[in-house]
This record gives sequence, C-alpha cells and structure tokens, in this order.
Amino acid sequence: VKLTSSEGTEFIIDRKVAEKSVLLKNMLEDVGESDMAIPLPNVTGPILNKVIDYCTHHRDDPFVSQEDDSKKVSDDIDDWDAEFCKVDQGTLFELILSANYLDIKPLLDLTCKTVANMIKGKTPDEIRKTFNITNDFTPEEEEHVRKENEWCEER
Amino acid sequence: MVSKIFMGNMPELMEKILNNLNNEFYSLYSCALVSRHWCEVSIPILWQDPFSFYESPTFISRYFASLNEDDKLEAKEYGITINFTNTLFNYASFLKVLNLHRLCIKVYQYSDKPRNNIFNIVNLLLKIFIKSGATLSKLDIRANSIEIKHEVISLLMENKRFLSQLKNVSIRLDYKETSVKNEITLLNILAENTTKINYLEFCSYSNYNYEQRFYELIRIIKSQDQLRRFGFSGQNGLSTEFSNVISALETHKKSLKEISLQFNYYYENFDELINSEQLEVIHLKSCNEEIKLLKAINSGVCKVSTLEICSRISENVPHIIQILEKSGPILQRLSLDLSNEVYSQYSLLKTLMTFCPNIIYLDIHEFELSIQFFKLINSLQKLQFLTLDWINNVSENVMAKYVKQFAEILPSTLQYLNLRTSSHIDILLDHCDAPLKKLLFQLSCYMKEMKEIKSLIKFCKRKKTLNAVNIYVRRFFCGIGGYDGYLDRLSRTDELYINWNKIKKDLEGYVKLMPQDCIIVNLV
Repeated sequence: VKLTSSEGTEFIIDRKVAEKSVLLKNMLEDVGESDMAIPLPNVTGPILNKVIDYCTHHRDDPFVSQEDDSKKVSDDIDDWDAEFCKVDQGTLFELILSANYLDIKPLLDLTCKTVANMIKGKTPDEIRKTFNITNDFTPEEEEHVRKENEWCEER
Repeated sequence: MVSKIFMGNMPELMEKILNNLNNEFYSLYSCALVSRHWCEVSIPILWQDPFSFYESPTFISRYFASLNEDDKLEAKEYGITINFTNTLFNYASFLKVLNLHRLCIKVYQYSDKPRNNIFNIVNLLLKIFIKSGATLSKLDIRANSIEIKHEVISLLMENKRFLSQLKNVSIRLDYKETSVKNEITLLNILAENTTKINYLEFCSYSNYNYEQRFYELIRIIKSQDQLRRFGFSGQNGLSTEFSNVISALETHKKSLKEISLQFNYYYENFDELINSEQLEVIHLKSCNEEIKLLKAINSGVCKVSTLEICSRISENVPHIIQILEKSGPILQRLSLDLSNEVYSQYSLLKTLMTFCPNIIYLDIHEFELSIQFFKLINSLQKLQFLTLDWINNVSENVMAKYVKQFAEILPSTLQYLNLRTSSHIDILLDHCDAPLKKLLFQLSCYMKEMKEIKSLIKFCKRKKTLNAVNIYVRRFFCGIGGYDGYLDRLSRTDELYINWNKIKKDLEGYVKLMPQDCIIVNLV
C-alpha cells in the first residue's frame, strides 16, 4: 500500500500494517487493489513514519473495536509503547491528532494515556506550566470552582 | 505553543485524555482549576462517579443546591443543611455510575442521623439524579441495600433518558417478599428503556415470585442490541426458567464474549451457547454440575483468553487441564481456586508451563510453594500480575527458605503482587527484585515488631518503583479489618489503632497506602 504524507513523501507499507488504521482499511476495501498512493494531507512525513513504526510493531495484535470495553488489568503502559512515546510534546500531540484522523484506536488510547500521565498528581500551576496554558479565570470564578470541589483535596 | 487540543478546538480529544484520570480525583480537581476550558471538560468527568471517592463524602451537599422549594423542605425534615445555592454546575447531571450499595454507605458516612433518615436521604438523592437529566452508563442494584420509594420508581418511568444509555448493569435481588413489587417494576423499566447494555449480571437466590423475575430478565436480554458479557448466579427453583434464559442468550451468540456462571443445575442448551468462537472469557464458580459444563467447554470450539474456575472437586482437574491445553498461548489471564490435592496441582503446573507461556495475570488459591511452582513462575516471562496465598505447612525454617527462593525468582515483568497471607512478608520483600508498582499483603493485628513495615520501607528505598500499597489487618479469628477506613474509626486507645497510626506515619514519604478497592486487580 502506498501512502503520501502532507509534504508529498511516499511510504510503502504492508496491507496488514495499513489496516491497523480503520480509515485506511475502509478505503482499501472500497477501492480494492490499486497502485494509486493514498494521500494523507493531515499527516506530516515524520509523524507518518512514527505511526507506521507503531502499526508495524503491533501488526499482530487483535483488533480492538470502538465499543470494546475489553478487560484492562492495568493503566500501565508496556515498555515498547512507553519508549515509543518518549518524544517531545509537539510530536506527542501530532501523534494524537494523526491517530484520531487515521482512526487507530490503540495508538490514540496510548498517546492520550501518556498525556494523562503527564497531568497526574500535578497542581493547577504545574499543569499550566507543562502545557503552556494561560489562566483565564477571574479570581472570583477560580475561588468558586475551588470551593465547590475542594472535597477532592482530601487525600 | 499550546496544542489546539487544549485550546477548545477539539473537546472530544481533550475529554479522551482526561477520561484516563477517571477516579484520580485530585488530578481532575487540579485540571478544573487550570482555565475555563479545562474546567468545563474536567468537571463532568470528576462528577461521573464521585461515590467511589474513598475519603469523606462531603461533596453530597452540592447536590442539594438543585432542589426545588418543596424538596428543600423535605431535605430539612431529614436534617440536611443546605450550604450551597446556585452552584456553578448542575453536578447531579454528570452522574454516570450509580451503585446503590455504595450510595447507602456514603450517605451513612455523610449523615449521622438514624437509619430511617438514611433511607429518606438516599431516595431524595435518587430523585435529584433522575430529575437532573443525567444518563447513567453503569448501574449496580443490590435490592437489599435500600428500599426504593414508589415515587422514585414513578420518576424513573417518566424520565426514560436516565437509564437509556446504560451499558453495564448488575442486579442482585432481595430475599424479602416486601420489595418484590418494586423489583419487578424496576426490571420492567430496564426491559422497556434499555437497548445498549453490553454487560449484564443477574443474581437471584430468592424463590419468591421467581417466574416473574425471570420473565423480566429474559425481556431485558432480548431488548439489547449486543450483549457481550453475561453473568448469572442463583440457586433455587431455577429449572425451566433458567433454561429459557440460556435460550434468550443464544440470540446474542455472535456478540457474547464473556460468561460468568454460578448455579445449581446443568441445562442441555448450555452446550449450544458455549460452542462459540466468539467466547473468550469464562468464569465458573462452584457450579454443582460443573463437570458437565467443563466437558461442554472442551467439546466446543471456544478458546479462552481469560479463565476463572473455582472448584473443590479434584475429579474436575483433568477437564480443566484439557481447557488449558486447548487454549494454550491464547490464555493470558487465569484464576484457579481448586482443591489442594497435590498431584493434581503438579499436573496443572506442568500443563501451564508447557502450553500457556503468555499468561500475564495469575491468581492461585492455597498453593504449596514447591520447586515445580518456582519453575512455573520462572517460565512465565510475561507475568505482570500475581495473586496467591501459600499454604504454610512446613517448618518455619523451610518456609523461610521457600519464600526467599520464591522472592528471588519473581520475573522482572511483575508489577503487581497480591499476597493473601501474612506469612514471611518481610523475607519476601527483602529478597524481591521485581519492579513492583502495586503491593497488597496482610498483617496480623499483633504487629508488635513491625518487621514487615521495616522491610517494606527498605524495598521502597531500594527499588523506587512501588507507588501503592494495601495492608489488610487480620483481627481475631474470623474478624478482618482492612485499610478501608475501619481501622481509623477504632477507639484512639485501642492498641490496634495506635499500631496502625504508627504504620501510617512510618510509611509517609515512602509509599501511598490505598484502600483495597482502589488497587486490587480482579478478573471481573
């Protein structure tokens, strides 16, 4: 299967790897056998390269459907996946957007979980600094939210 | 630069990220205070299942802010002081998980009023939730927790949205004749208003009016689009009716992936249900004619990835072995609670070593630590979760040697260890090199020397991987108290209370003590 990234770089991958993406799987089923490259205008070359790495590593994993509330025995991330997600923040967010666009549920779950782990246990100020967020609350609003939810502080 | 995910352009992705913090109350609270957009996304998640918050349930008072004037008068009658008016959000509308038993416990902790008042407050809260526009995704009803008032049932009939999005439902029915009418109505409402349930658990040990209950259960089963998991436990008077339940389940044969059964009789149509390639998770708990069930599993086409068997009959072991051989590398999660007949266990261990190398979760009850067992643990190179209680039937020295040997062979993949024993925990921790993240163990209430706690601190310092511990404290012969708030409520002069507080103080800064519910990993 041929894929073209947003800059026009061409990638050739196995059909089984491509089919980890529900978007590509459906396209391939609709189009049938074809030498035409599939354009992916929303995914840059370096990100597509990472996505292909992920799909190749997980090519034999069972398919997980959207509704599948399958048994998770842990929130933890396995070693290969953890290493895969050791990228700068920009790349991590691009991976989330690409996984969402290409409809690759396990990759979307993994990258979202990685970002959640970056938030876990942090104070509001630490979260703002980590993701460069501006606090747009008025002091009164912030106090109101704090007061109604301060029960969470008991830990 | 801020990612557009966090700028409000893609709320569904931000929600997906924050959903991973479900039940991480402190983290979600922090998120709510980051900015307006973060607040809007995180507050609904924070309030999806607040009754699982294990500290004091002071949040309950926020719900009363949405009461109308009549209901406020009613609340005052129950001794409720309404502190919050005009809250920023309609918090009740975010509720997704309702566990009636847990709700009762939290109201009991919230109110120090007599039991009758608790009943009234629970019913008042149910009214608030139903009227708020909330749509539940998970419902757990234990009918003996509380009697639901007729006006709540009426509200449920009027507000169909409340139950319409349910995906996960557990129903445990009452023994009492008095509550049957409400129960039947509730089942009827579920049958009328739900189509999206994919996990249904039903438990009924009562003989009273069981024909009607089963009639409604069958209607619930048939109303669903795709049932993926079904659990049943029951005892008496279930002959023909249960056979009809199995027939109803056959309509979901293409989607049914998991079954959990605990009952008295075997039904011929069970063979047909279980003969499915889709079926991958089986739980069998002390069924009277389980040998027939095991034979049916063996003769069918299913290969299981998760198997839980509780059986005290050693004649069943060859059939269990056959299931393990058949499932082979597909099997990833296994829980066995069998008779402790040594020979059978050895043959089981051999089978596991030979056929099932991909086990990541293993739970074994009452096992002898043995060379064969060590070989098995050594062979499971993907093992991440281990739960066991070993039989302590050799001399103290030999046992200490065995535990040391066991600790030393724990694989480097192991991150969770649940020891349902208080024996030799210190030796295990002193010699364990596995990068454990979660640990559960027991302590005798005569914890004078605290050597286990010293070893636990040494382990934390040495490995730096452990982030949550549950310590279950045994008291007297059969009474058991765990760290679930019980020990904190003891008299301050109680020796156990004093010892427990010393443990908490000693562990501060090393590892977080957690209630069992929050860290235990079960197969169901």
